[in-house]
Amino acid sequence: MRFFLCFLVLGTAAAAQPAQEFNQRLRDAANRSDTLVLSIYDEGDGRFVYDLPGETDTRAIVFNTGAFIVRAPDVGRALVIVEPFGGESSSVATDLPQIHTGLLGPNTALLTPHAPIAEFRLRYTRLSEYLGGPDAPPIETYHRVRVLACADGQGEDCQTWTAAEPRSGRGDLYLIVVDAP
Amino acid sequence: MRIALPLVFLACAGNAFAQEAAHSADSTDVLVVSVFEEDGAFVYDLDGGDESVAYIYSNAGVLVARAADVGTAIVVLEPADGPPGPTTAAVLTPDDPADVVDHKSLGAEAGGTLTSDYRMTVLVCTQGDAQTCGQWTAANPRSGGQGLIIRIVQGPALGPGEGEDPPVDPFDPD
Repeated sequence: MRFFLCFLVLGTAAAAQPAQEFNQRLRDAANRSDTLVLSIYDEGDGRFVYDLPGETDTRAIVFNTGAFIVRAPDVGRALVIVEPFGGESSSVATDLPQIHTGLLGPNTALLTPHAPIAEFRLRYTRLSEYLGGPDAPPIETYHRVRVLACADGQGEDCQTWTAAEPRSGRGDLYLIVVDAP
Repeated sequence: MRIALPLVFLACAGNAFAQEAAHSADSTDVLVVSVFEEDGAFVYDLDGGDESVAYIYSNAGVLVARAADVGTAIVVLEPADGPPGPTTAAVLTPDDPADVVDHKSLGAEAGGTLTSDYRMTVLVCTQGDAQTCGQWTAANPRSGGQGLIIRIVQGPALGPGEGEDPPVDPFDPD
């Protein structure tokens, strides 16, 4: 009996671990506000970098009620593409049309000197309600963020584009959109 | 006479739009832009045409981009003039060399904007693969013009085909 109880407790603890991690991430995202800002810079040595203010993480969590804002204050023209990517719910993310994967509207922003800021709005409706009913657990969708900066001018005739790198140098940025609590 | 002149003007304007629509219909509802590599340079064109303006119905047309012999490419539609507006893009890879450029995301829904011009920019990866590409170069239109303009025009009202149900948005079933 004692052995059985021990097994039960251990099993419950193991199952609770992913849920705890997910809840912690939700709390972290809540503390960070519903708006994520990605900034692109020209380092002046031919390199373009981007980062989240004060962050070097390569995974960013944002609620589906929030917004994802990109800005390029000192870059002439930059192209930002948010595309579905595999992840914990990759089958969900890739099997659904774009509008159901967390983004509302275009998945691309072109930043120019006259319009250096753009916003990606996120879907308000709970994705899990659509897929599994009101009691379904929150669903995450993963997106890869591509950042290209014009390397040979600022006009519409830009010929060469360079992929910007995250300032932390740890790989691409992934946007994780989670259902709002 | 005072009434006749405006009527003639309206008839001409309507005729011009009808010609645009007829042109679009002649080119079918599917507009295909192909990207090629030629002598180290990258070019793109409409299949069988070198026009600088291409028409597409807002509610019935589809813009398909394909990169048959190019590794990875990005096709971007951006407002050609006026204030900055929504932009949309398709990413083409060797495993998935054809994709639809979603002009509906630009707000060009049926009943919406009558005519909108979008500049097409085609970027081809020249260093790396789809995942790691670090350098991109702009492809030029084969005709050597200043770039291709996609003109999205409001097409005739189209309902679902016979025996088909209208599409339902699961988020907004009403």
